[in-house]
Amino acid sequence: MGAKLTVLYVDDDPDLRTLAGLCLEADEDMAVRLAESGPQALALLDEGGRPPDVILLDVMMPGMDGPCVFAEIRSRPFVRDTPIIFVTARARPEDAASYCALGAAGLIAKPFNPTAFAPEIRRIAALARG
Amino acid sequence: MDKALVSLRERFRQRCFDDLSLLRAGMAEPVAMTERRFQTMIHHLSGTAGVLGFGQMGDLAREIDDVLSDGGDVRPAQLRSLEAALEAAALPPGQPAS
Repeated sequence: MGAKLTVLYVDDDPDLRTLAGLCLEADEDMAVRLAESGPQALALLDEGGRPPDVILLDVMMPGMDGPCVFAEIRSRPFVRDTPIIFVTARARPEDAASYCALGAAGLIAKPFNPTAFAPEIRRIAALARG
Repeated sequence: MDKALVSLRERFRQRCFDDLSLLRAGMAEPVAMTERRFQTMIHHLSGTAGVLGFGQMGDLAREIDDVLSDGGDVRPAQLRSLEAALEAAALPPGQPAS
């Protein structure tokens, strides 16, 4: 069996963070780390070790919002090419276009379907990696 | 997973009390709706409620969130509908709405 797909999920909402963690951990081939803010996510990345295979970012977070965290992540060479997926309740077509213009691998709209969450991440990550 | 979901729903239900107070503050004094705290509450509801099984509440919050993010005016009927959804969710399980 291959290595697990490692996911970093960043969201300031504790309920969604917990639920996302449960959904992803239920997938035997995924490993998940959770961060409650952009700075915490960046600190996790900077700890070293194997970088995540996919990063999921909430858009609207206090302090450092999703697009700001996105830019910070992209400035780090070791995660420069890591697929980043925005997860947001603000998922109108114009919003999606702006996230894609930033270079996001995809967008998952909130509310997400808990049972389809992990497969959707896997699908977007596979597409991003070609 | 089911047990965890029940626990999350219960936590969310309790949070509805706080959200209800904030919503009513906005209904009483519209300027309160321009505060970040209010807008964050609406945005969180729009993302969280549906995932936890409160789909209608999530839809109502999303409509308001879209209006607020476009700088528009939220209709009183939209606020009243969200208020009713929050009241219903905040009731203890099994207790009928008045």
